[in-house]
Amino acid sequence: MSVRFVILGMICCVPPVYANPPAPADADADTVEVRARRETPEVDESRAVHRTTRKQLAARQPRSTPEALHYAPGVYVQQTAHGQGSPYIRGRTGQQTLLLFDGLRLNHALFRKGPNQYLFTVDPRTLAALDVIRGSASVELGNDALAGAVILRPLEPALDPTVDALRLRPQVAIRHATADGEMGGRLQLDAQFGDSFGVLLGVGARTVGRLEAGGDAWADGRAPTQVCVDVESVPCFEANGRSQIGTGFDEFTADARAVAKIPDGHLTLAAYLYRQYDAPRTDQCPPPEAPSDVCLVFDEQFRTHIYAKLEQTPGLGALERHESSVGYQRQHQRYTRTRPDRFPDNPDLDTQSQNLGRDAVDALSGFWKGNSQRVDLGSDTALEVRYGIDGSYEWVESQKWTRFSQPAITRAATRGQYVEGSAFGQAGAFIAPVLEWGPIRFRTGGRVAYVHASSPGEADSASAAFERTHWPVVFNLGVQTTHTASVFANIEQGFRAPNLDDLTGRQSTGRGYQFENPDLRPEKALTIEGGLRVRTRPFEFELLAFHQSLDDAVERRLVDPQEGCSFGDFVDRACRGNRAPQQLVNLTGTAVIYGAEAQAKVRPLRSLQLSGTVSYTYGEGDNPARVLGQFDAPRVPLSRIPPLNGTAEAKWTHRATGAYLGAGLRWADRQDALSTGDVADARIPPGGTPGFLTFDALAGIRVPAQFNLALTLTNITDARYRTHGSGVLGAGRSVVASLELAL
Amino acid sequence: MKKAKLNWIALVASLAIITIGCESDDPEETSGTGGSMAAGGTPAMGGEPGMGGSPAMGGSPAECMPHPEDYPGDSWGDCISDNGTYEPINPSISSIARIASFETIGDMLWRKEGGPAGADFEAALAEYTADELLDSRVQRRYDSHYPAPEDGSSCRDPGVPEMYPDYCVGPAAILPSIMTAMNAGVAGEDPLLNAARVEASLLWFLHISTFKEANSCASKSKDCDSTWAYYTGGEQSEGGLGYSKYVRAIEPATHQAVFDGVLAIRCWREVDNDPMSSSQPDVHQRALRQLDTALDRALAAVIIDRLRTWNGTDAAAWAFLQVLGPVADRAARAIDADKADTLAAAWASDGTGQDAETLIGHLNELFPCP
Repeated sequence: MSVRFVILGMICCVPPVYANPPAPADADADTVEVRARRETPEVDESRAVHRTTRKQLAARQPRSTPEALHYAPGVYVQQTAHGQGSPYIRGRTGQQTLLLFDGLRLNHALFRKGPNQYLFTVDPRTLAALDVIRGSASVELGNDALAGAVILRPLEPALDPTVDALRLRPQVAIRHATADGEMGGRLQLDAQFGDSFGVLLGVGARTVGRLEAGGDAWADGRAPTQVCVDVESVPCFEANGRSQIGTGFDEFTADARAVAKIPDGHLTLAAYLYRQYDAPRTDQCPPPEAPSDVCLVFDEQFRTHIYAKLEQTPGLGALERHESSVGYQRQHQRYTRTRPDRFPDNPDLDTQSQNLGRDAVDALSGFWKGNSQRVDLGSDTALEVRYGIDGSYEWVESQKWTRFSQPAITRAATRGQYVEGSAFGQAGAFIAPVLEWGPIRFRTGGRVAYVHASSPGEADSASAAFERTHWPVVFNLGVQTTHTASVFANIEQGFRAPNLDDLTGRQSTGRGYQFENPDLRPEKALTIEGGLRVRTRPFEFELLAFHQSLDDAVERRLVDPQEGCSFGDFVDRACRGNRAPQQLVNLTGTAVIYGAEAQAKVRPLRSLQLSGTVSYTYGEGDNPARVLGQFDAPRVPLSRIPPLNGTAEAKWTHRATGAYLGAGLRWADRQDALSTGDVADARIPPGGTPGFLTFDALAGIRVPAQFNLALTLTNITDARYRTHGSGVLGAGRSVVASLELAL
Repeated sequence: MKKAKLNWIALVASLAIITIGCESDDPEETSGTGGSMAAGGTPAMGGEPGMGGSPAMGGSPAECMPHPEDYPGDSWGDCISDNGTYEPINPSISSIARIASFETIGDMLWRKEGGPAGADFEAALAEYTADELLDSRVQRRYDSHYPAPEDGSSCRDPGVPEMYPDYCVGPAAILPSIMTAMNAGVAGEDPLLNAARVEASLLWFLHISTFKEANSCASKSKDCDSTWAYYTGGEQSEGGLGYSKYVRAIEPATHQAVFDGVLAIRCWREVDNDPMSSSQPDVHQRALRQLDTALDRALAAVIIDRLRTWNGTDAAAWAFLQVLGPVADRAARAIDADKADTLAAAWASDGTGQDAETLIGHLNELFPCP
């Protein structure tokens, strides 16, 4: 569906100015458009946490929520497709990192191994901030927080206690990017009704064309019809050598958030809709070696999230504050792999065929968590305890069809990518006391969790019926000094129980075919990290090192297609015919990921800020390959571990006017530590992914709550680059222009 | 107040847009079958190789003398193939699944007892087009006997197969041959004839693929395994699926000669063991010549066998020959253009007035030895 008319309609239907003049605000504040209520930190402050603020988002103009994390240390954003993005946190992504939206799980039971598209289904224009927690965090966050978490904090409606009448604050935002012709915008209405009820409504849409990469794919010449540099490589290109085939999409978003003041707290009702249309998967458009007009397109990628949240501060000794939430989320995707007619000029023959599929997962989830007051125990000692319970229940729909144009036939497969009717439930309870003793802060905690997965099976495809139950128990321990220059050390356990993608999924992957393993065991991580943190007014610095050991780590193993693709009497032909049939297995031995992260921020002048990050990660595990003659080393790198990488930013702000100028650079070293699966993955060039260095420039004027004009010149040197594991190349030299206007 | 009303109208209009974001309906299952049974009497048994009787030879292939440079022979040193079995380079050989799919389609169509119905063609079409199976390779198959386009054009790109139909034989010729027959079969038209056309088209693909993979093995060593797989279905010389099943049933000596050619390719790849390139192209060329010669005779044997089955009466066998017969034209024309013209004219006809023994004689003279 084209959303161009929606965008046009939105721009034409800008609500008329009908608002009290907004109060002047501090141009330097991080969050100023909305009145943020007190936050309950999801994990202890001594952890490795990085926040990306609304103000930074406004200046950097990320194309998506994953892209908003480009400057976070220890995070490396991979993009399989233009309409996707997945953050690697300390070398892990997708299933092994937890995404929370306003405290509720975005992760669902169909998160697949490796990068996925789901963080992309959050509109960055609905966010007030993004926090990244690096390292295991399952004690307080539960399942999937194996390597870290991304916590998405939504914009709140204004609740100004000095306002006792109706106040409407409409805002319009439009954005254009030259690299992909993006044209889009958002209408937002912040309405306050009296002093205790506020509503934030928003609708957004954008249409995005093919993304231009830097450089020229045809620098060495091009045959007249050529679209791919060679039969093995992705992506492929238009004749201009820059526009990438298999990019572009349309997007529509809508959100509504109502917040009411209640005694000692707030009650929130919220709904978020994300609708993405016609988003090709870049590395499958075309797949390596296939006819160049073959393409896998996600016709629909929808997320619907509705929830209620209660926050109160009763001020009791054992319950200083608590918050709880219950929500419903549906993730729906419909996809089509089209093999077009190869004889379009022959009216008597049409060879087009399509593989169609639809998957959906519905989830009910909720949590309750609270904390005690900080109790003074005397002798410069105090105790505070955090605790909570959480849980979710999910169920799956999945179907596949094959459709031929001639003869006009549509055939349903006996099963979809997943087994319809499969279900996944989880629950947990945690407690996390913190003891302060003079300048030293000790903390510990534990969680008991319950995970249950079930599938009714499917006889025709020999998909096994099963019931799996796990009872993970995890602990943590931490110590830090509370000086301006503090040292800290943390020991954190994490776990991830196999989800329904692992247990029931049969699907094409980057260049292989992955089938289920209903006997997988939960992955268990132990993170040990320590470092130095300095926080002064003009200077902030953090340096830490980490070591994570992974037991029962889940990796893909290439299998012998003659044996591995048979399930009893059933032979999975798509598996057997694939060059890289793979099964998820628990690695023997202990996999390890270790590395170091550094970040620094300096304000030599009040108006000038310099910052930078450096991250290094290495991971390896026992070789899961059973049939790969040339990869028989006992230990091999883990899949898609990011290379050494870093960022640097400089920003000057004229405080009186809100005008700013800035520059940023991102770089990555070559990554040639490849897993066996990486070697077979067309998204990774033979021998590894080359390093890169890109420069951006920023300029704009930002008057909070009134006006924000942002211009970003990206990839100034027009470097041709890809982040490791990406199917799409980074945008070439281009401009992103954005205007937000409060009316 | 008026402004406030407009404001709300705009909001309601915007929220109404949300209703656009509904999930679309699932596709409905449809069937395109136009016939429920094979028409035209008893099946032709075209799918049973060797039914044409003993090979009619200028001389029997068993009596042919091997070329002095053939493997195994004195011109070859010791190598991995010397025990007479093919040793895979990579244990994961996906091409084997495509030969299994060929056999599955055979059971659905040309070996179907009582002849195939429209529903059988529908099932065969689904099997043929399944991910990573035969269609995926037919769509990209090129014939290594012809030079690649000099400008670097790829057969995968739109318009290129039409420009280079000999080189891009898969998409340009084999694909339409298969799809036209499948479509007609689903519609219930001439099921026996169309089953035979599918059979011949797929054998064409296997014949081309065996040689193509032996060529591209120079830059991708795993393609040697595909040479073996496309010919034998992943079996050794005493077995054989797909193409080799036909050849072995018709002329065991020719089958062994093709298998020796496959072993020669494997032997070369072991000696010249850089997986990405070839440092001994002369040895590679010797192995290719041996394999190509044997494959020419193998193709001729299959055609001869079907000519015997045809014997002037079997329409399905003639439909098979009209597809597979012209495949031998390139090699035949290189040897004797007059005989090639005669054969080409025969395949272009509807069989009326053609004499099987004459055509068999031409083929035996053109391709006497494997």
